[in-house]
Order: sequence, then structure tokens, then C-alpha cells
Amino acid sequence: MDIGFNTALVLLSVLSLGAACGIIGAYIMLYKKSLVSDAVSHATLPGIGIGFILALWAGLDDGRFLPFLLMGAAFTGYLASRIIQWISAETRLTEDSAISSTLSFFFGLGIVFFSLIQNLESGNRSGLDSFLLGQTSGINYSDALIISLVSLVAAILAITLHRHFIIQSFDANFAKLNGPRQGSIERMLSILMLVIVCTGLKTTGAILILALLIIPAGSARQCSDNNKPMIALSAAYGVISALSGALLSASYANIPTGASIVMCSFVIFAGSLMIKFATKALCSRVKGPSYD
Amino acid sequence: MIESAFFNIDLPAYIVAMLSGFSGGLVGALLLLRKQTMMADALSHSILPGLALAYIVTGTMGALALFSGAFASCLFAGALIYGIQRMTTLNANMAMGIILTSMFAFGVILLELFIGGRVHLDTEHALYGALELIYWEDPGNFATMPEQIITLFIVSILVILIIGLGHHYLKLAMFDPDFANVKGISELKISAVILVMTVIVAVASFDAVGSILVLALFACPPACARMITDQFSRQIIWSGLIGGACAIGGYLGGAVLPPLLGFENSLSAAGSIAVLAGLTQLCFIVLAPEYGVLAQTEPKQKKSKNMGQ
Repeated sequence: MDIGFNTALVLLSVLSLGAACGIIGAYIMLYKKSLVSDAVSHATLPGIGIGFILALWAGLDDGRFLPFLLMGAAFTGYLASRIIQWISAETRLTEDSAISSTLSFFFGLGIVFFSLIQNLESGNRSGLDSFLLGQTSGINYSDALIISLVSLVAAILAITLHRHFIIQSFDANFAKLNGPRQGSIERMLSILMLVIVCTGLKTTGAILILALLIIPAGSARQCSDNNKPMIALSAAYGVISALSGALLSASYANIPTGASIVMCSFVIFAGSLMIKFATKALCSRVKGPSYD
Repeated sequence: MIESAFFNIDLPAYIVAMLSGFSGGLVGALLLLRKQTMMADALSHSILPGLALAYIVTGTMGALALFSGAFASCLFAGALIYGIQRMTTLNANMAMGIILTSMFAFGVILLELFIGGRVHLDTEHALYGALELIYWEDPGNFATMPEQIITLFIVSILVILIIGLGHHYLKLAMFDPDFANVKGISELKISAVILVMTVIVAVASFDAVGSILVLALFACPPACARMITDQFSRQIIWSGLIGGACAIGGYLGGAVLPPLLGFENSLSAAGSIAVLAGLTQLCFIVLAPEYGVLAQTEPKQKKSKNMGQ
């Protein structure tokens, strides 16, 4: 395959996105917040709609002005995560119920906005649909640069906070005694999650970015009981599934990038499950320390 | 032969919306009490590959083939989630997240590769629902009644029967699992019954509100009911009624009201049902007489003052 400069750049952006998702996803898994990221990623949809309408109103780029779209997405995503927190803290409803109702409300709002945009005569919605399921072919030079930079920064930030995240998720009481305020670390993680979800919107789409956050982490969890190797593995799995998914969807034009990335990561998950069971069966006679 | 926009298009849509809201609310109440509402999300995402496979295998869009395909793939997803939870250290959330995204992505790929716009089954339909497309050719003539109404009608009656007859066992298993276990009602059996009901309702409502917004009907009405009652049977009944009302109101607000107000086009009916359900839940959370946020603010402040002294 002849890889031009542009393709290489897109691949670079997908690669760094995969790595960042793998790392942040691993911390999210340790915090047991995986489904909050599901709600947040669905909740970016109305934000994209609002950003589109605002950009259209301001006369920018036919409405498809990426900074506006992403700002809108980040805004509603953040709102959703706050609402989930508020409902589960202030009312008798459980977090599970809060997540599901917030998710469906925001996604419904997004769909209402999309149908509104379709009815606007001047609006061209075709670019918006790629935010649902992802399309790397729509990524141009500057997008790719932004995606790579942002995911790199997010990944580095997450690794810098490694110690806090680990202490917090394994021993919350100790963290309270020791480190900075409990809430600020948790908020940091949800901001990182939000940033990476918005960054991934163009590549995997709002619905399937969740997969890149949790499947690599879940697969890595099967291979290691030690947090550092697990996070490294999770980053590696993220990179492999994002890259192979993007290449697959580039060679079969029909497949949305998000879907092919998810299928690749699922193959890795299935593989690591099998390896785990195989090693378990082989080592069953050897008594070692059990981490389960 | 009656012909008017109301009887041909609006009436069947109202019926379908109401029935799916009602049955979704009933089953959602059980899920809420078991803290398993997200299971509805996972299962509704898993409908897509089942529909696609059923179409690819049988080559028809017959209701029965699609229904059984979707049913089978949902059960498969449920079994996978259960298996992952049992056999690995991953918790329920991770298992659901992994399976729901993978199933949905698999469905999208099947649709794009093998079906690609040849029938009305496409990704957009799966996401947005097609309440507006249901058409009753000759209202009053039950032979031409849309398939969706018949399916949903049967499903609603089935759900009412199961909950009505098994009411006692469900209650026992939820509030005193140990005693229920002694009486031979194991956790697994109850889980399986609720799972199957969820799948049936999700598949039947799929046409109306799309796979993702089915969740709105499972999540919001039971949460509203939870804010106003502490009683098992009231929880279920209120949840069903609120679900039906939200669905009707949502269709009214999305599809009927905008043209009446002078706008040219209507909004997505499924989307507005979900929005209305969410707003209703917000009202209940804030205003509920006993457990609402407003009602709870005052005693809480008094309590903290006493603690301080």
C-alpha cells in the first residue's frame, strides 16, 4: 500500500488516540467508572448539534466548524457527568439508574437537534453523521495534528497523575489522608475522559469511542495483575486495535472506522481471554499466589 | 374505508408509542430495583446484529424472522455478559461495555457490508427509530393493522401476565434473596425471567424508538416512580403509566406540535420521547413530595446544624 504523507498523519493521529484511550481507559476501569464514559460519550451528541447551529448562525464553514462542534460536545458531555454525579449523590436513585436516564435524555436531545438541523434549509448535515460512527477519511491535516497533540498531552497528564489515581482507586481512605483533595483527582480523571472522548469523536464516533476506552483495558486486565504492566499493555492494545481498525476501514470503504476499530479490539479481548484460560489450565497444578 | 392523516399515521404511532412506553416502564421498574438498568442498554445495542443476520439468512423482512433473530442475539449477549462476569475479574459494567460496543459494531458492519440501503433496515433507522413511518392503510380493519401494533400488544399482555402472576416471587427474590433461595427461587432464575422480558420488550419497541432510545423508556419512568413511592406494586404500576404518558406526550411534542405551531417539518419523534421522559424525571427528582430534592433540603440542614453543636 502506498502511504502518502496525509495518510501517515492520519495513522499517527489514530495511533496516539489509541494509546491515550488505552491509558485513560485503564484508570477509568480501576475507578469502576466505565459506564459513566458511555453516558458522557453519548451526551456529546447534542453539543455537536448546538455547535453546528451556532457555527451556522455565525456563518462559519457551513456549520461544520470543528472548534465549535468540539466545544459544544465538551460542554454537554461535562454537563452529563455532573448531572450523573448530582443525581446519585442527592437523590435516592442509584448511579446505574442515573447513568442510564442521563444517557438516554442527552442522546434523545442530540437526535432532536439533528432532525432540526436536517430541516434547516442552509444546513448540510452530511458531515455530522460521521460523528456518530466515525470516518477517518474526513480527517484533514490540521485535524490530525490536533488529535495527535491533544491525545499525547492527555496521555502524559494521566501518566503524571498515575500515583494519585492508583492510591485513590485502591485505598480511598489512605488517599484522603495523604494526597490532595479526593474530589479534585476524581474530577481530573473525568476531565481527561471528556477530553479524550471529544478528541475521538471524528475517528470512532460518539457511540463507539467507549469501546476504545474499555476493551483494551479489559483485555490488559486479563494479562496482568500488576497495575503498571497492565496500563502499558492497555496502551499497546489500544494502539494495535486503533491502527488495524483504521487500516481495515480504509481498505473497505463501506465500513465505518469506529465499527472496525471495535471489532479489532474485540478480537484482542477474545484472544487475551483464551490465553488466560489456557495458562490457567496449564498452571493449575502449581500453587502460586492468587490475585483474584 | 377511513382516510385521514390522523387515522393513517398518527393513530398507529400513538398506539405503538404508548404500548412500548407502558411495557418498557413495567419491565424497567424491575430492572431499577435490581440496579440493572444499564443491562437494558447493553441488550438494546445487541438487537442490531440479530436483525441483520436474520435478514441475511432468510432474505425477508418478515416480523417473525426479525423478531427471533433479535431475540437470539440479545440472549447471546446476555449470556456473554454473564459469562465474562463469572469467569474473569471484570465487573458487570466492564462486561456490559465490552459486549454492547462489540455487538453494536458487529451489527453496523453487517448492515454496511451485506445490506447497505437495500431495505429500510439501516444504521440510521436503528439509531433513530421509525415511529413516523408506521402506516395503517385502513384503520378499523384489523386485518391491515401494522405488525408493530400486533407485536407490541402481545408483548404488553405477556409482560402484564408474567408480572401479575409472578408478582409474589419477584418481590420475594428482590427483597429477601436468601429466603427466596430457600424456597427454590434462585437468583439466576429471576435474573433470567427479567432478562427475557427485557429482551422481548426491547425488541418489540425497537421499531418505535430505535435501539438506543429504548433505554429512555426503561430508565426514566421507573426512576420517576421510585421518587414517589416505596411500595413494590405501586412502583411497577406508576412506572408503566408514566412510561405510556411520556411516550404519547413525546410523540405529540415532536411530530404533531411543530406543524401545528407553523413550522414546516416535525422533529424526531423518538428523540422527543426521550427528551420528554428525561425532563419528566427531572421534575420528579426536584418536586417529589417526600424524597424530592426540594422536600429534602430543609431537614438535612437542620440535621447538620444539630451535628455541629
